[in-house]
Amino acid sequence: MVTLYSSPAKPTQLDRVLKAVGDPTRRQILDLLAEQDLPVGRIAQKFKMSRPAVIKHLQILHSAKLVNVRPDGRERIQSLNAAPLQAADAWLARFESFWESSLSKLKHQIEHTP
Amino acid sequence: MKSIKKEILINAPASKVWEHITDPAKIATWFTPMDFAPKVGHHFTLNSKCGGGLSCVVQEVVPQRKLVYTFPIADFKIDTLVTFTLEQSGAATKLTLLHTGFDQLTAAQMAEVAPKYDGGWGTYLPQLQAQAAEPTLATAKA
Repeated sequence: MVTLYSSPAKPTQLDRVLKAVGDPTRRQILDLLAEQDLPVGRIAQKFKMSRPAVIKHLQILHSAKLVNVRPDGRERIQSLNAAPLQAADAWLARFESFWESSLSKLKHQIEHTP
Repeated sequence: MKSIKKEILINAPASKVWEHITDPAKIATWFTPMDFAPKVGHHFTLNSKCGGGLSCVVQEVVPQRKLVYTFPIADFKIDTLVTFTLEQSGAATKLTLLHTGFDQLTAAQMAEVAPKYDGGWGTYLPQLQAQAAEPTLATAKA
């Protein structure tokens, strides 16, 4: 694990994911793509942003592998790749295991004390 | 998964289970020390390992049947709801715990704070790395 921190010159995949989700506009783009795949132009419309500005955000999302691209005629369709975001599930799963262990302690406490 | 639901069958009457979820001395034995009182509107502080004291408020109290209180998620300044429901049948009581309100958060937001709750990257870092390395497994659940 430690070795991950010893090469600051080259960003790791995790660094890219964190950089990508660290920006509110990019999080909104991810939320938008969670609903449907969209071409660049439609994303730009939704955000009232210039096309180059959207492309810049998308490039960061691509490098984090959070968004995939496929060509469709002259358009480039952007789609969400949620796998790196399974960290979110991990977060909720922590609450879940917290409650699980608390409740089993509760059961034990009640059933084994007079 | 936008809410958490847990059910557990306890071999005791609902009155005894109720005591354990509402009496501060008893709560401390299975949960965490907190200045709880089963009164609607009561403010209490729950000690958490990661976020210090969490300010909660009792929302609903139906003795031996239902208890609801707020549970703040400090990182996002939002409140979630924790509901305990008790149903006695015979000598046993079914306790259902429902933790709701996570739908206020997006997946990206949750991913952003996940590491803090992990006490480090330990648990899911290997997962992220594996996913990064194996894009074909992208949709597989870990």
